[in-house]
Amino acid sequence: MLNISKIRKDFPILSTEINGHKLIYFDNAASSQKPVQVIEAIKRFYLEEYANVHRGVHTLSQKASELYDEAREVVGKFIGAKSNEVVFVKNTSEAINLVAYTWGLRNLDEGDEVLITLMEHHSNITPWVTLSNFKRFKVKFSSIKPDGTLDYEDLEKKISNKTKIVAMVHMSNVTGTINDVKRIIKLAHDHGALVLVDGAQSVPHMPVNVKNLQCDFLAFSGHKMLGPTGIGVLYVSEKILESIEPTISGGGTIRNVKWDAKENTCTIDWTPTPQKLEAGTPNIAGAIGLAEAVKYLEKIGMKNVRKHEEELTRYTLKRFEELEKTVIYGPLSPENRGGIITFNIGKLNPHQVALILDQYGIAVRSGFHCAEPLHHMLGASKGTVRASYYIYNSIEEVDRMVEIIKKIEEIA
Amino acid sequence: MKSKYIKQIIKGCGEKVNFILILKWEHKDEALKKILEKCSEKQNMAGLYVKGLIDGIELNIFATGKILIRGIEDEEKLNKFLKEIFE
Repeated sequence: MLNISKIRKDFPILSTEINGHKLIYFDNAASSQKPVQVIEAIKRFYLEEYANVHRGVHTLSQKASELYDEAREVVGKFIGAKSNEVVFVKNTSEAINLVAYTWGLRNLDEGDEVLITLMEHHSNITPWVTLSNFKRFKVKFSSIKPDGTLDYEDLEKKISNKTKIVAMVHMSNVTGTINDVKRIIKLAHDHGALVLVDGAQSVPHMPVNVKNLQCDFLAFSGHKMLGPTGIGVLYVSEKILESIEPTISGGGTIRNVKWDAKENTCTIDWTPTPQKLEAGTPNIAGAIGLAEAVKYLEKIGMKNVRKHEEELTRYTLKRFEELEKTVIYGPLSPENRGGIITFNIGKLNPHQVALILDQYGIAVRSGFHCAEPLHHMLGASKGTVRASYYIYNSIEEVDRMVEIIKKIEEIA
Repeated sequence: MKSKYIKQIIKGCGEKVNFILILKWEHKDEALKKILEKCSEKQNMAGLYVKGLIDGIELNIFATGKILIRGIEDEEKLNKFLKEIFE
């Protein structure tokens, strides 16, 4: 059991009042709150340790470089990766786009197929569809079942030797469905396809180990896992790391640029990965903040994080049985569902519900949650309300939400 | 849209477009008064919000200074509608 009251002391924002009520923050799938340890690490860096990284010979630059490199190691270990397999990016969206526009641009052509699922966040749909418009490969969508789980049989039918990459979400940001990505990775590799796992919702909330999964790419964001905004990670398996050439280049990505005066041409010698994929001055403070967030989560233990959210989900599902007009989306078993509860109340519009909950200081999200195709599949074309949990959320907060939902049901 | 009263307009996603109007906190009460004066068929929805109509457009008015506007799908029409309310 997590010591929630002790954890909550690390998050001063949770003591604030919103609209005259104590804040209940249930918008963690969008972004998590930050503990003082992360805030202090960033503050300390700017006040005492700041300089640009890498090529500076002065002492402060060396210190900043050490911290930045250490951050990469900490984050790498957290997902079972070597530090050179960790590319710092802005967020999950940028990570997926980076795969599409580096690996995809060079390896996908007419006749090839990219297999994604209907459960994807727009970030894992649009880069592939956009790229396919000028590279002429086909994007195939694997279906889902009415309960919001992946239709594995459909996916097995759609994968073929034409499939060059399977790009799929580990945990749905709408239904909380946890996909058996290990099973899909094995299947994809048997067909010679690579696999990109969108770990935006899974990495912050459960143990994820890339060596165990055997995925080729893993993308996730720092701000959803207690870290700052503007920092995310693309894990690239060492097996394919060196074959990837950057599409955004510049400072830090180049070892040397040689000009042949006789031929009037230029040749580029890239720096080793991951630096060659991190053009320009990186988000140094962001990486340091993310490493601190990882250390915080490791102290708690990711198995404990998962267990806590599973308990909250189980409790919520049980309490929702008391509701008469509320429909819940996604699997009803907390074992294969993350701490995400998505619902609608009667005929009410999801924004109405979110605005009512906001009046009571309860922060939830309403709309399509950047997953419009999934909402249509679930028959929720008006959108949904999403409450999403993290380590600092409690049973009492769930009770309060249910109490307000009961009031809302009176007008639904 | 620049206004003394409006802080932000959010276009909510969903099958039908809904706009969420966020009023400037310092002028919230004045703005709410103006809106409520113009509303017809006002209904108090169990103390959760007030539902009303202005020119056939449904407004869900929240004490927090947030208003859900239903029935306008076009941003230009919305701006015209809001201009008329706050004039």
